[in-house]
Amino acid sequence: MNALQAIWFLLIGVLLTVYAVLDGFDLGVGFWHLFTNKDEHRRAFLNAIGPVWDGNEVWLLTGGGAIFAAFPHVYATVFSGLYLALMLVLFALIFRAVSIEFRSKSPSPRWRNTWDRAFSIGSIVPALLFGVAVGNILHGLPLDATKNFTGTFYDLLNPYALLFGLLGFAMFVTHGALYLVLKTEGELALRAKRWAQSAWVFYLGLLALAIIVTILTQPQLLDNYFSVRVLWIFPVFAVAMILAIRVFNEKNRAGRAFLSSSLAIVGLCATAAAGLFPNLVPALNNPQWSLTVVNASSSTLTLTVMLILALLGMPIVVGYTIWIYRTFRGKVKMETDLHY
Amino acid sequence: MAAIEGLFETQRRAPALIFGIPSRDDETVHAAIRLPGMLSLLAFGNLDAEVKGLKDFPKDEWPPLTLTFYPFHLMVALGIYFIVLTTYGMFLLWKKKLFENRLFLKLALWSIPLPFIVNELGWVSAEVGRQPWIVYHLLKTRDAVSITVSAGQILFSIIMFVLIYSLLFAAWIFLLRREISKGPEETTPASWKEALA
Repeated sequence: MNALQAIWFLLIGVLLTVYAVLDGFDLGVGFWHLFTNKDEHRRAFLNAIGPVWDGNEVWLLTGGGAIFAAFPHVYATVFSGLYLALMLVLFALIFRAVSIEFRSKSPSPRWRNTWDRAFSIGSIVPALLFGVAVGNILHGLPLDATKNFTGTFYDLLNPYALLFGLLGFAMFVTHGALYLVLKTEGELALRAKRWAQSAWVFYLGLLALAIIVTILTQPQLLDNYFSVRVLWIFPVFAVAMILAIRVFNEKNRAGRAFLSSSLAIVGLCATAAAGLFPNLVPALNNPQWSLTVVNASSSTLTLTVMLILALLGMPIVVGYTIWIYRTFRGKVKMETDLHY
Repeated sequence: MAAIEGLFETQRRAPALIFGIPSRDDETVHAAIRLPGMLSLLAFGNLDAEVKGLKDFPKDEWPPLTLTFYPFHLMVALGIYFIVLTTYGMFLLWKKKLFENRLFLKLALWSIPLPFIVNELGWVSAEVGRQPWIVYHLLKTRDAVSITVSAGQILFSIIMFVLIYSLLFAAWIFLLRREISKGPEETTPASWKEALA
């Protein structure tokens, strides 16, 4: 293994983590959208995520693109092996994007309700499936010696992966509710606060269950933790942040609660990545066939060129992302003209 | 390029075709109307440049001629039509007769879908024209097919794409009709300035 391969493992981890933190809340908002019935509340929700949701999704694209360029074997195996699952995510995201734009184009309640439902379903499906994907990667995929996926679509729906699907879902909806507390006012913010409280219980409970099940059935994920003890800081940090969510939310410190939730997601992603390294896709049937940062990476030249481009590009992306969030900071104002 | 222009023989001063019916079996273009040297000029910026013809490629590496030649030429023909139509429209505007000329306005209305079609024609020509290669001289399309994704899965995704896009197209047409039936807003030069500001 060379340093570049390790750096790219880290960078892809960063891209996907930022994606989870950013798109996580707008997928969560999509779920809570189901629980509103007033048109102006729904519009407030869409306006809360309106300026940022599409920018957030770009992190998933860059994550996928970086995997393609840095670890082409992982891209080939995962994108072929998980073809149907990825298509489902894609269809959901298509509907979600179109719904946001189309709903306000006609005042008819039937038109609006239809697109509102499509928006919620288009948010719920990816919110569930991303967790299922992470669960499957942690658990390992059936591979053969030529790095090809040998399982079926139904193999992906194993209990361990489904548990992670639910955990990811609880994480996103908690995150989404906290974002709504931050962005809305009055009655709506109060409801969002209660939603966050109930979702949080599932979040913590499912995380506890996932940790226990992992220790019992996937001990290989703990190897790194026993050889490099300092890694325990990640899961401990994540759990501390999840507890902090509760405290801040009760004290109506919306900003801090949302920040805790974001950091909890970072902690959980780091926990999973630390357990996985140096594997990218562990082979379920024969550890020799696993895709690792060594056997799945592209050439040193490619990784070097990409690193230079990433170092040039990333500050710009981070810069404009911060600028957008600064521009649209504060509560969504109902009096001013709502865009959606 | 040879397939797009139906060029069978390698030659200098290679012509561009305004019209023609290329035949794979006869290895020639029937009823061709040629512009001598144009293909050489367009491709290499030089009337005398040599352009490699189809006969210098193995026949099993030829792309399907029909789906390469016709879409490309239809695209070019429509492109010329757009230029002519726009020029005529500008002429009418200059003569201050644009809004009285019913024939021109009807023609412009019915031309709305054409740019979309032209766009697709270009894609068809490019994608079919590069067959049988998916990466030129490196990888053939048939060798690039995933061995883990079954044909059934591909079919399913194609059907879903067709359904979703048809549905969205219908919704889009519905919205467009509503907007159009409202008619344009009354505009004055002052309001244009406002819109631009």
